[in-house]
Amino acid sequence: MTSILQTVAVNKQFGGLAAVSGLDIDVQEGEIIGLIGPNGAGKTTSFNLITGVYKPTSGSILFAGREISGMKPHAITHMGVARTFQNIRLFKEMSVLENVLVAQHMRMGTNLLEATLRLPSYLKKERHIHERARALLAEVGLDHHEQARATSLPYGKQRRLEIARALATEPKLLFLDEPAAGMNPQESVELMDFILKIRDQFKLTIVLIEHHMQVVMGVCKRMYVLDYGVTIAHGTPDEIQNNPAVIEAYLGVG
Amino acid sequence: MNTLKKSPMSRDAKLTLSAAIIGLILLFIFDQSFDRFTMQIFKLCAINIILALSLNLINGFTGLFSLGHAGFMAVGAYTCAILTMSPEQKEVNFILQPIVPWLAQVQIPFAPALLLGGMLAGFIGWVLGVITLRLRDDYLAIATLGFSEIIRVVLTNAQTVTNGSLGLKGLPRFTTMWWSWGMAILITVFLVLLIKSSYGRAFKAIRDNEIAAESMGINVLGLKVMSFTISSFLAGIAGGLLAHYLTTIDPKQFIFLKTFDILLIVVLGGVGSLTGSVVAAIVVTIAMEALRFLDGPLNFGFYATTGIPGLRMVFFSALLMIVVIYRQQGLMGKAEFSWDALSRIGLLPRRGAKAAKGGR
Repeated sequence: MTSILQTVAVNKQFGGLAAVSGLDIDVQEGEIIGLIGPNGAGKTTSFNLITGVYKPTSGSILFAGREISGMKPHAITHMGVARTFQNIRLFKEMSVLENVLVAQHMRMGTNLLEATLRLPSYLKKERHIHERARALLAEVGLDHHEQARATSLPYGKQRRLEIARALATEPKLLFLDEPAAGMNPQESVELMDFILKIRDQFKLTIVLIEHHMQVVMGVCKRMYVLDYGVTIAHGTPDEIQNNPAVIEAYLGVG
Repeated sequence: MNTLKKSPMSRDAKLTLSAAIIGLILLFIFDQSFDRFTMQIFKLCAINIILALSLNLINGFTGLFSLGHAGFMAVGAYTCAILTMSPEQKEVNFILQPIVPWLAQVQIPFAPALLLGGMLAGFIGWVLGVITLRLRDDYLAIATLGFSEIIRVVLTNAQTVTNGSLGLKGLPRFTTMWWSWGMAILITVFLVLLIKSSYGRAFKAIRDNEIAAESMGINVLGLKVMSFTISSFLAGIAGGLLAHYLTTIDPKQFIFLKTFDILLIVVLGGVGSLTGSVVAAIVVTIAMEALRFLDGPLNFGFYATTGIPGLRMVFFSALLMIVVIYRQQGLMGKAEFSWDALSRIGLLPRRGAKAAKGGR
């Protein structure tokens, strides 16, 4: 096993507020890692730092051994990092199919001339990404909705569409930001199976933020607990559940 | 969409081909039968189509609120005009100060001059894009608006290149019906193909959600600059056509109000609809002429005016207000023309019905 993601002493300051301080996480290839913590603990900020939405104030982030901190988000995605968003960010004026197609633009390797002249080489690529998009939609159970507007889907399906869209970028490392938010217990169980399935099928490494403890404890081998931007614990689900610091962060001290 | 799967000669392809042939024949007839005045308005329609489409590419499809169009038009218009004028004409025009020597003897045909005008506008658009496209929304609008005014001020003061506020007069009337409509059709086809390609999807993704687009591997800044460059190139082409349509240009024509004229067309037609821009460009251009009587003396029976210049613009302002209040999406919203849409509203028989009758 080799490290696919390593963050070394990553800090992020927003003015006087230390949103994330001393983030040290180490993710091995093929793992499913959980990132938990109370609201405002800096989980999403950590995601934003790793995926390039924010620039770290200090520290370094290594993806597959290469420094990625400070790189543009699209360049990081190009290297094989994809994500979903806590507050769903679909392309709302576009159809379900188009949402997945657009995520393949980067890997299509086309140019303006080829695309506007509709050269055979472009049409071939276009057919290929259509097939792939349909396959991915079938994978997440949205194949009957491909012409629907993305935002017309119910909430749970929008989340699945976000995952399909992220998978379309051909990632090695996938970040899921609260994938079970707004799901009922039945859907959450299905989601767990789904996460395990895509991990094996697409040979992914997955890092997820989740408040739904059943999901986190169910699929994650290891987890990190953040509170006020500081990593207060990390270990296996059992270790975390019995860690006094974690209990204090979640429940407070009586 | 499904166009990839269709057989080579589907119903839509046949309809498109027949529409193209009918359109071409109509252009021939118009070219022969229109009087000079009608022809001028007809040509202006085509130029306004190009302007509206190019502004819609950035404002409507890429979601960048840019107000610098008049500046790019001016660059195209002046480049094209200076390059096509004969040395004698230049001597006659530049009476205050002679033209710089390296331009005095230059005279090239219209086609390459038009292209160069577009390219220079595109290049300036590219430079401006790299600098300003990090800005968003109203900040970008202000920056591009300021740029457009800078261009105008430079044109006014670069006496030895542009003849300053005297402008350039007596340009050859190169913009024939075929030039203006030919370019308009060519550019429309180009933009339809662009918008329906993977690039078009990427532009729309940037418009819909920039952060998500970036996270899906789309080089947001790069594609914004690309869209902006294409748009300014096309505005430059339109400017060149306009110069040789009016045969007289001066910097005052390219004040920022010109940009708002085009923006009016884009908003009325639908921000994010090529079809809307084409239709609105034609309607607005014709209406601007048809409503000219409003500027003259009016007699309402109970009240008579002796002519208020600019009253027809009040009509358009009112129209714009009504649209913004009651139909923000404009004429077409984000929808595009398609033969299927015509079937849906009952103007064409449905595809299924035709097949059922065996009519192939």
